[in-house]
This record gives sequence, structure tokens and C-alpha cells, in this order.
Amino acid sequence: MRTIRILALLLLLAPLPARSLSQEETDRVIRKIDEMERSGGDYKALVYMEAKEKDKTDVVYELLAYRRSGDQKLMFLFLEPKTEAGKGYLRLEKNLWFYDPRVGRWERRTERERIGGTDTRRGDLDESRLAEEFTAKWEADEKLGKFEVHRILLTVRPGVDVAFPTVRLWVNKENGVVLKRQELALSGRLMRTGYFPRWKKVWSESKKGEVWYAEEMRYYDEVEKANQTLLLVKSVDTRPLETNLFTKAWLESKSR
Amino acid sequence: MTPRTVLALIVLATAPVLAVAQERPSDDEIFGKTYPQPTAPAPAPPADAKLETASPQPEGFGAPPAPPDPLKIGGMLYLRLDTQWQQGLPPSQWILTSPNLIDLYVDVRPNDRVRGFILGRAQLNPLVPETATVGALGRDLATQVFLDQAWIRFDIERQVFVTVGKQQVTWGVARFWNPTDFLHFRKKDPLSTFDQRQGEWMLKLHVPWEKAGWNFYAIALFSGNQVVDQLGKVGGALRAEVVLGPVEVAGEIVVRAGTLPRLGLEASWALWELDFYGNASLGKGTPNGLPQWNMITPPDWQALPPFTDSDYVGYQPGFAPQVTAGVSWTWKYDDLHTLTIGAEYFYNSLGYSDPAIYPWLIVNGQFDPFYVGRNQVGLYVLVPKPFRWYDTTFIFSTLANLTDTTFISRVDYSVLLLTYLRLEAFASLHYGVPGGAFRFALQVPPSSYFPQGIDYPPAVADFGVALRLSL
Repeated sequence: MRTIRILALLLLLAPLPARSLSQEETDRVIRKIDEMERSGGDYKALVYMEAKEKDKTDVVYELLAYRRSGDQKLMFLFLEPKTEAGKGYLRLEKNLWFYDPRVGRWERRTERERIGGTDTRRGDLDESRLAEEFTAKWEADEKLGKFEVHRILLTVRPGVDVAFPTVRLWVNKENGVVLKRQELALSGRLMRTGYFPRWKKVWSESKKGEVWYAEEMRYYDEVEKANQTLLLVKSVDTRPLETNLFTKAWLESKSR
Repeated sequence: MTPRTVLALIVLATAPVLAVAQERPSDDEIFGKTYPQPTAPAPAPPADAKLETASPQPEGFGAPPAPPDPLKIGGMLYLRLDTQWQQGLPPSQWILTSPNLIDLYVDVRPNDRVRGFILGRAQLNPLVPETATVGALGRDLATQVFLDQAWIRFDIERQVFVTVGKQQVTWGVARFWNPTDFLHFRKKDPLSTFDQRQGEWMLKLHVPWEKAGWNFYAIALFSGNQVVDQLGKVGGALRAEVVLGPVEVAGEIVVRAGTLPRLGLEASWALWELDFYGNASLGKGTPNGLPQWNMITPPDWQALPPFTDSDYVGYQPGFAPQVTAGVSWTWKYDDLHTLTIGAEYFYNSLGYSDPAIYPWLIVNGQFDPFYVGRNQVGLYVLVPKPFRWYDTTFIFSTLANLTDTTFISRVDYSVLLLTYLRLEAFASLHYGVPGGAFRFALQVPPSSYFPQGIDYPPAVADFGVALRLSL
């Protein structure tokens, strides 16, 4: 009897297990991520990218990422290295275009295109649309390093074209930013892990609010373990971009 | 093998993995540090854009891209070695060519809206006599130096983008045959992974409609089959590109001196997992203005001469469509890899039904083995980065000339070495009826007209290897 009392006391004193998030609360967490990262207008970022690949020398890229909310326009333009400078991608609606200046020809590519042959994907620099593209399911509350996080599993909605159909997120409970992201193939195989240890925010006039962005992103290829990519967002500008920037004409004029 | 040896091998085999694992920090190492707090919000920019100059630009944000040095120099070194095996010839007599390419460019951008670009190209073939100009079937083999591109580009009020000079503009959405590639008057080798055609002289006005994603072009053409040395010989083209959801449609019309107007239509769209595309070149006459030939009498190689001008009648055809239709499907065969399978059909009303006319076309410089058939089919399989070969690509292609039943199958291999150096190799096999387009052959015994006779055996296979490096 004494033993039972002690056990009952221990149970009472033990920390309460984390309460699971309801579906509504989970969806709210995901919508908040989208809202925090949404610029609500034009957005331009100067990005430094360092790619380490197996049996290769490290390659450092520098690129400009442009995007416009609303009509989902997106463009990348490489500035460095010299062999990549002038190459660019333009997304108009559901089409992703690549220009080959050597022969003056435009080609259409899929949304899953890797950027510059690195492990970086279009979605890494695009506006967050998690709520639109995925359904969310709360998995657990746990600690990630020193942070209290929600672990949430995302599954792609039918008919949506994304790089990875399943994504697992570790979301900081305190401020709602994503700290870690695992991307899984249809088979469930882990393909890539991303870490986002540093976040910043800038004021957006068009949004009339703050836009959050991960200043540092580290991606690890889980299949070819030696491959990894570091992205540093050096600066962000949310002021209106120039007229006719999201056009083939503009990108052609910069391409080499 | 002793247990100690096995253990040593296991350690050796796992060493790289351990090394890799050490390079990757743990979650605690990444997130155990003091979390950097977001910086204070940036001050709101002035509502009136005209006041922007009152405050300094954020660091790293001038007008992009405005490099400190507006002049860039670069290029490409492309070293190639090709050989062809012709039937009955020992390897020692196979034709060997080395059409190396050296590209050098100068790119100047004094500001964000003005740009000048010059690309010079030298084709250096040390294995061909300097006096040679073209090969037996019209291929450019000899050493030559030319300007591939030389243009100035600027915009008018960011609404009209102007490019004037020698420039590359390629139209068409097909893989092998693009009859709407009107602005190049030289035809592309459909199997080549490198399109080495020169640019063309033109004035291009490009008017984009950003909101809709549409594009409109007006072009004045200063090069073609005829030398444009009079105002009346300047050609012109108009083109519109329209994006409607996942469909892109383009329409164009081209007029050149000495040719009748040509209308082009292009479309590409996705349906389920299939990507469809089509090109159509529609109009009367030939696109290049050269005559179409009607063979009255086949050549008699024992006669003196074997053929005369009266055996062939040149004419400009009536409605002469050229149409390409194709489809491709990309199969994701595991979590990491894909392969793409495609098929393409080319109907060419300007092709010929009888291969006996090919020698006449060669004499007139009009023989192109890829474009003389009336009905042609192409098949291809793209295998990028197969298995664990992350820098390797294979392309398998087959072209069939259904008119003369000759075929050519080719495999292309490409691998990236030492991060920047690309090694390319190919092998192609010619098969089908000897004398057809892909197996052209001509045997003429010695006669008073051809004292040495002619012995051009059909091709059996081609092999090539190349190294490509950007400078």
C-alpha cells in the first residue's frame, strides 16, 4: 500500500505530458509561418550560396532572388561564379522558364528544378505557401537544442506540384519560425534536412507589417551525405521593383 | 582473408562516412547556442518614391547588377575529335576530324540598362588541309574564324527592349526538328548536343506584357540566304507568345527577300504526366527561297554525263507545310532519379520521296541528311544522374527517315570532372537501306566521265570525344 502511495505521489509530481495541438491550432501555426514570411508585395534578396559536393571543389554562388506576391512571380539571377553569371530562372504562373543565351532559346522546366545544379530548390527562396500546398498534422512537442518546438508533419495536397511530398517541421513555440525541416520522398525516404538557425525581419510598406526571413539556411543531402549547401541572405529589400522586371525581356537583357 | 584484414577494410570503408558525419553538426550544436534575436525593424521607407534618394540605399543594393568593373571577358574551349567508320574501310582509313571551337567574349555593361556583347568564335581543325572549305556532304570542317554575336542592347522606358546586331534567337519547342526556327537560315544538327550555328544580323524589338506574361516581338532581318545589300531585301518578322495557364502558344510570321511569307505556330502544354508540343511552318514556296526539285530521269552513272540540267526541274511549291509534333514523359523511377522518354514526328512536305535525287542535291549544296525525308520520326531517352553518378548524363536518340528507311541511333555521354571540366563522348550507328539519307553511298565505276570512278561507301558508325571548359 505504501508503495502504491509513493507511485501515486510520483505521478502527481511528474511534469504533465505535453498537450497535443488540435487540428485547428496546428493549422494556425502553419498559417502563421506563411503570414510571417509573406512580403505582401515585391521582395528582393541578395543571397550567398556555398555548395559542397562529393569529390568536387567547393563552389560559391551569389544570386539575386526576386519575387512578387499576388501573381506568384519569381526570378533568380546568378551573379557569381563567372561560369554561372547571367543564368536565370523565371517563374510565371505554373511555368518555370530557363533561358539559354548561347542559342537564344527559352525552355520550360518543372517546379522541382534544382537551382544552379546545387541542392537548393526553387521553394527555398520562394514565398512560403505551406497552408496552401500541404495538410498539417501535429506529431509532438519536444526540445530542439535549447528551444521548445512543435513537430509537425506536412503532406502535400492532391494535385499540387512540390519538390517533396512530405515535410516535417520543427517550429519554435515562442515566435513561430521554422528551425528545422526534413523533406521526404513519396516512399518515406529522408532526402534532405534543412536548418534555419538565424532569422531576421524587415519592414514592408506594401504589407504594412514585418516580413521574416531566414538569414542562414543549411541544407544537408541525406542521400549523398557529402553534399551540403549553405545559404546566407545578405540583404533584403521590400520596396517596389522596377517595371517589366518579371519578364523574359528583362532576364534576357541580363543573361550571358 | 584474416579477421584483422576484414576489420581494416571495414574501417577503411567507413572512414569517409565518419569524416562526413563529423562535418555535420548535431541539432544541439546548431540550436544549443544563444538564439540570435531578430534585429529591430528597419525604418519604413518613404512613402513617396521620389524621396528615396534622401536616404542611403541598404548595403548591397544598388541597381542590379552594377559590378565595379563593367567589362567582363570570358569564353569557352571545346576540343573535339570525331571519326566515321564507312562500310568496307579498315579503321586506318576512317575519316578523322577535330573541329575544335574557341569562343571569346567581351561583355560591357556601363549601367543597368545598356549592354554591349561580342562573341568571337574560331573553329580550328588541324586535321583538315587549310585549303579545304567544306566536307563531302557539306559539313563545315575547315578552320574558320567568325563573329558569333555582336550586339548592343538597351531599353526604351523599360517598355521596349531593343537588341541590334548579330545575335542568337532560336524559336521552336521541339527537340529534333524545329521548322519554325525561322531566324536561323542554317539548319541545326538535331542530334548534336551543341548548336554551333552562328547568330544572325537583326534588329529586335521586344515588348513584354508583365502582368499577363505575354511577349511581342518585331524584328528586322539583315541576313539570310541572300545578301541584304538593298533596302528592299531587308526581311521582317512578327511574333507573339501567349501563356494561358500551363499552355504556351506562339505565332509568328516571317518575310524575307526572295521568299514568300511564312507563318509559324508553336504550342506546348502539359496533360497529366505528359508534355506535348508542336510546331508548324505554313506557307507557299520554300522557306529559304531555294528551288524544290522534280527529278524527271534518275541519274544513269554509265551515261556521259550521268545527268543533265534537263533531268531536274526546279520549282517553287504551292502550300508546303512542315509540321512537328511530339510528346515526352518523365518517369521518377525512384526517390532521387528520373528518366525522360520522348517521341517526335516530323512531316516535311519539302522532303523527297526518291533517294536517287540526293546526288543532285549534293551538287547544288542542298543535301542535309536530317531534312531530306518527307516523314521522319525521332525517339529519345534522357537519363540524367543515373544511380550514384551524380555528374553523368546519358542521352539515347534514334532518328528514322521513314521515306528511305534509313536510321541513325546515337548515345551521348557527358560527365563533369573536377567541378568545371566536362567530358563528352558519343557513338552513333547508321543502318537501313544503303544510299538513304543516313547511309548515303555512291559507287560509280571508272568511266570516261569519272576516270577514277566514285567510291563513297555508306556510313556504319560515328564516334566522338570532347572536352569542354568555360574560360
